[in-house]
Amino acid sequence: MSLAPLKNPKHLSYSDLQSQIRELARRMNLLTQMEAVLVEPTAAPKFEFSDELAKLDVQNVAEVVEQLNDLAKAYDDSIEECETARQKETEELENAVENIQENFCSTQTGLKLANGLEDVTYFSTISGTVCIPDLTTGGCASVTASLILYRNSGGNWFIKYYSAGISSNLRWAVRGPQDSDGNYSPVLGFLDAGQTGTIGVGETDWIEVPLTIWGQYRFNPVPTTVSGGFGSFAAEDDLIECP
Amino acid sequence: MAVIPIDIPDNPSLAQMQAIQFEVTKRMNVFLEIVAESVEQEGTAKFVFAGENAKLNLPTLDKIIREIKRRKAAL
Repeated sequence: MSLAPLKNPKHLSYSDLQSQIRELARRMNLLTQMEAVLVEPTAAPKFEFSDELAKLDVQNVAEVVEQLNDLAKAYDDSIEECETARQKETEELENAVENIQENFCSTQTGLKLANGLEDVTYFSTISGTVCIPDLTTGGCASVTASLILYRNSGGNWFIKYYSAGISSNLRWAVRGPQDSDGNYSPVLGFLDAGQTGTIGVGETDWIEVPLTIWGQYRFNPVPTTVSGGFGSFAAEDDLIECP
Repeated sequence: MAVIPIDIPDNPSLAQMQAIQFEVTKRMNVFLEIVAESVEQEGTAKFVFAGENAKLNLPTLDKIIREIKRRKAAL
């Protein structure tokens, strides 16, 4: 039970003064033994002064520190888990890249052998297909072109091309960007689907140039032309090195 | 405004004792009603004893606890 305030007349008699001082001393003794008690970190601080004791509730900082340490450990564990997962993913990706590179190099070696280009000093291929709506059947007439850009041992640049299509009425071209006069550069085609051949090209004409494949259906019954992205030939420094 | 210390003579007369008793009782009554309050977590702990009231400011930990719980839950 809380203490009642003391009455406080200004001029007490000697005996009343004695009683008052006794009570004051008792209360002062309680205050000198005041206890500070730790309470929950979220509890409100509180001061209690009763006949038996004086008590001060203080929020427990140690508990907060403990929770902070738990949190820090949880963060560390989480980071460690992430790091382990990242390492695993990195290893998996490295293995995948290695496999892809092996397959790529194997394919490229096969392509070089098949084309008699074992001694070239630059070799890069691009294949692309474009689908032209067939106005008669409502289907899709596709034409595919494959280009091999290479530099022979004499330092000369060539493009070897292959193409295929389901109809002799299909033609194709591969073009670079259009200039302000409406001309495309570089250009290969239009050529009939199924045609193959080799042409000499300039040293830097085709490398790192964004290319577009064009497909044309001549008698569809009216000529229809469609284009699509074809990619670009990689710079020499960006080529995947094969053993 | 903070209160000034009580002057304590070596051999107080009855009138002086009465005056001291009056002031001590008055201050003791103020002590009975110390208010302990939470203040901002960045605030400093402070005890304020004015003539008419006494107050104890303690920084609150509520926000820190809430933040810890939020971050734990987010992990």
